[in-house]
Amino acid sequence: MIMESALSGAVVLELGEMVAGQYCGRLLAGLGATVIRVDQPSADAETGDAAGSAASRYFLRSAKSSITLDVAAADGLAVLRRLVQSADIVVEALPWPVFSLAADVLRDCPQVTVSLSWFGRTGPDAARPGAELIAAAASGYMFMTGEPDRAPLMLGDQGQYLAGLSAALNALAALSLAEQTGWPVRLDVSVQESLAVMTASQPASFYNTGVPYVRTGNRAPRSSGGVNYTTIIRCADGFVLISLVGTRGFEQFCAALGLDPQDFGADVRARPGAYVEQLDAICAEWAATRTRPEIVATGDAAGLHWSEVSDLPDLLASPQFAARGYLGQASSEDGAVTVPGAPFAASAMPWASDPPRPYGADNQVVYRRLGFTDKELDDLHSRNVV
Amino acid sequence: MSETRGPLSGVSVLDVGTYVAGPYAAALLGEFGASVLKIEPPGGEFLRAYAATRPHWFHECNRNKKSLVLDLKSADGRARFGELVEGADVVLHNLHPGAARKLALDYENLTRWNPAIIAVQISAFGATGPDAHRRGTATTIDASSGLASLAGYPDGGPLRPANLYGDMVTASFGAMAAIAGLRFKDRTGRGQYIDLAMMEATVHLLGTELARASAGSRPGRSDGNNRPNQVPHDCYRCAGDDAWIAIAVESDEEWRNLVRAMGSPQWASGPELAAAAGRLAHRDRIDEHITAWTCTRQPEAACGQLQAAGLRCGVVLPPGGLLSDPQLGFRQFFEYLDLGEAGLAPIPRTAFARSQPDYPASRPAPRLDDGAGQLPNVPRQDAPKS
Repeated sequence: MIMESALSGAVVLELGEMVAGQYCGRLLAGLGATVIRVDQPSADAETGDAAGSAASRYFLRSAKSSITLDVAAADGLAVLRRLVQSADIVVEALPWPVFSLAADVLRDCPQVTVSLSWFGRTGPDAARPGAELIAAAASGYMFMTGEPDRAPLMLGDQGQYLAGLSAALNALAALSLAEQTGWPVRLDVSVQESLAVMTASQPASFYNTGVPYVRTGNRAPRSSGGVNYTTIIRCADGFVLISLVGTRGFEQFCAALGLDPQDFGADVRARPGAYVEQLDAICAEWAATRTRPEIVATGDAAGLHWSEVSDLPDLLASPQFAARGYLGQASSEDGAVTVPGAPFAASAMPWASDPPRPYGADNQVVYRRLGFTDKELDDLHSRNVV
Repeated sequence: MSETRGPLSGVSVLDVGTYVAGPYAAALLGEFGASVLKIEPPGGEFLRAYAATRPHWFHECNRNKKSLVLDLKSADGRARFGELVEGADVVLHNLHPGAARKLALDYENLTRWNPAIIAVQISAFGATGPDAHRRGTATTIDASSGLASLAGYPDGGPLRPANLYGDMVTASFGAMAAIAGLRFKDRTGRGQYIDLAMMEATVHLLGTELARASAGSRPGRSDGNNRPNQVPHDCYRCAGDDAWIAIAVESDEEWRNLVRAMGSPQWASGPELAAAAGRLAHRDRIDEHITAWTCTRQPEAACGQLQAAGLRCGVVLPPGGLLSDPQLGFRQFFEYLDLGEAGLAPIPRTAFARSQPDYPASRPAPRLDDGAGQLPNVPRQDAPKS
């Protein structure tokens, strides 16, 4: 029996290799949509991941069907048109030249089309060559991350994941609008903008004050005005994050570490962050002989929100995740693999997590449903179109 | 004038959130056209205290809402809240699960007022499991989610991403859960309870990293701005104060283009650098030479020269630089809210509708209790004495 979910019955067509598009499709699949991922007929072009293992592809490909189609081949666009016309949501994250080729066909989707790209499908930078690093550089967010005297830092592929999240959220909302009004909705999400949202109110602050932003590494940002203190520091078994906010936070901190506020200047309660060097030295000495659980428990007892700095093995072994059933174990072609399940625990909606399908495994079912005959499919296959 | 209409027109949301994750999720629903009522304790919600010194952030988190003061600690306040829940579709909050129970905000209690309510409860680690008692902010989650250990310089320790990453990611998932719940209710007539952990939402964006770690194919330390098979791939210092450009070379051909664009210097012409593996072995030397080339040039000039050669490169924009970026300007990424005496606030758009129908324009955050006179059947509660 198929359980009803939010997007049951909705058909999503997913085009392109960008992580952003694949994550968008993965989220819509989780919500119950039938996601048909379009892979290249020569499947080795499938991934930009150096490791290229089935394990590394598992997360983004699970809960989807797979068909093959070379959009750029002769007759590729004609096949694409039939796929697009029968979809409720088209997720396209195609390289610019292929997008340009297919733009007319993509407009045939009767309901929702969502584009994902580095800079957007419109504007002077639409065709500009991009990469995660380049979109991050253009987002303002990268400039904010890192030490003040060193280079700004990107965060893995996070810009693409943020774009995928934003695209899935917007496509989910837009589908209801398209259904209510009968109007097609076209969405255009860029990695640059998805990361730029993370600058939060910094552009507005600059607009009104003209004060340029300065990176502060693990320390509290200057905009906190000395009210906050934050550090990441080495302890006996790894790293911990220690932070405090304002007068109350400072008093809790002193109580937890057995400090006398008299040892600081008179204004320390109002501006504990102004004593950053002194606090760094105190924290470093205190944490050096203590373990992460001891430090987190001390913070908890004092009402402070401290944390262990987890690495990936810590997360895989997390008792909290185990108790909540957050992670799922599965077997891939490369052996066992562990991936996150639902991003939120819903009491009535299931989250789809079926294993990935091999490339082109659903060609027969999908293309037949669109009315292609065996002879036509054989012909397209022999010409490497599908 | 073109018609505007949001996907959530006619949907009623009660936002009992505080600080960022909850209110921002509700602001997203408001951006989609939902009618959002911000329920505030007497004196106003916590972040309102920041509104005097940091108005832009308060407005960004609370745009598109009405405000109503209710004291949920009083029987009278709870009764009035119950009447509102009866007519609402979604209740959303980010109070600690224990605190929420005391204010009758737990799902069981909400269903007494409205059996079909969609209740989204946001917490740091989730409402169940051994960490359910732990409290945390986005700063806590930077460390516990693994983000800090995946960020950072390859030669350094864990590094916190800037701003409130976990809050923003959680807010998007909160809005997604609410909209999915609404669709599910349309199909089945049933409401539900969503337990959204900031920790699980944030780790979801690390799904592929977790999968690779579980299969033993991911190194533990941060790659910083580097990519193993793409050299050079980093930020390079330019002439000027804290001025940088990013360059991503993804193929040997792009490397040859880079060398030509820099004037084919002697150091770059060796055969040992022709392929990615060789460049990886000599990465430090390559980065030094590129920096020697960039650091005598203004970032725009250096970038222009490299872009003319077709390279993936860009100026690392500070957050204030987004305001004059031609691409973002063309796409009207910023929406300028008129905050009266506090001036104009350029707020990033998060709803990316780029076609008819356009979504409604955003409105600034509400004044405290401005919705009181306009709500049917809810007698106005006296504003707190200041």
